Amino acid sequence: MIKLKHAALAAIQILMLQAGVALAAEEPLPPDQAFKLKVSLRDPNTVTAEFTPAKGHYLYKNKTFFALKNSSGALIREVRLPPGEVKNDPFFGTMETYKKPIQVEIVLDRTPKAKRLTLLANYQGCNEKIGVCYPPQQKSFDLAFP
Amino acid sequence: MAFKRNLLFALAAIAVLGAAIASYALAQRPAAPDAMFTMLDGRQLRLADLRGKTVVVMFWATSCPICKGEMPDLVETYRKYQPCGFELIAVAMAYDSPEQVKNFAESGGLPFPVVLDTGGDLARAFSDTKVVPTTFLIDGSGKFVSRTLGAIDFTKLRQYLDASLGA
Repeated sequence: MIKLKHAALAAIQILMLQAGVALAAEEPLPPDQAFKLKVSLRDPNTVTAEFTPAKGHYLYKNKTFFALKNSSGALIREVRLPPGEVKNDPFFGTMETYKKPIQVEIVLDRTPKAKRLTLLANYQGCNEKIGVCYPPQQKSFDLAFP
Repeated sequence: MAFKRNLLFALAAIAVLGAAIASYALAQRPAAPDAMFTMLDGRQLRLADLRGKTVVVMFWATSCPICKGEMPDLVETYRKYQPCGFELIAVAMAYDSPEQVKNFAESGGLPFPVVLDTGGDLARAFSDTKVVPTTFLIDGSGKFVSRTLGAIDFTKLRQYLDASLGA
């Protein structure tokens, strides 16, 4: 019976080696699933952006930034990014990353007339498990203030 | 006893079938695109002109720490195997800054062709590559051998090059 088991295992190993050439690599998640982003109004002068990196993914703090488009009467006064996890990279030095969900506060200088604006969120991150990085992402959000 | 014999026969049949599927898969491997690479110095390199050589096409970006981390091993592999019929083309993604790519290639003394994928046509032609590093290994007949996402296993690559180039 033990011999039979060995023969079965050997046959399976041969099959696995043969199949190895055709095995597909693990595919990375599409960027929108890798880094979920929700934008909402908190108060008349604050927009919040909630980033949720998927398990095994991280975002770079220094590649997370925001801009306004078609938004006369409104400016970004301050972007409050939470502190990230410090990562020492041999090429980039000390970098802060976000592996867990974060909330970013975008404080605006807005005149009451500026009721509609477009927020551009820029971010970039990597998949730690596969060891690949995504291209920079830019998402546009149309916001309407009451 | 009869059961054992039947089981062994079945396993042998599975192994033979597996071999047939594997050899079919090898024969059916897709051909690499007939890509034209424009190097940093403006010279052009056509993939079809590299027939007979084993070629690695690596998509990378200067913003990608994993890609930069692989460069010393790529340089070493290139220096060892290039004289035996190996070619390596490092394609910087369209979103990369040409200045940063040039600076990195110069400061790192990259000995292999470095290419800017302006417009992203090369990434699209190579399995619509979106993440980096993504590395394609192409055999002398111009067919894909493998596509690797993330860091390359340099031990395996060198084993393949030793076997295919007789280095």
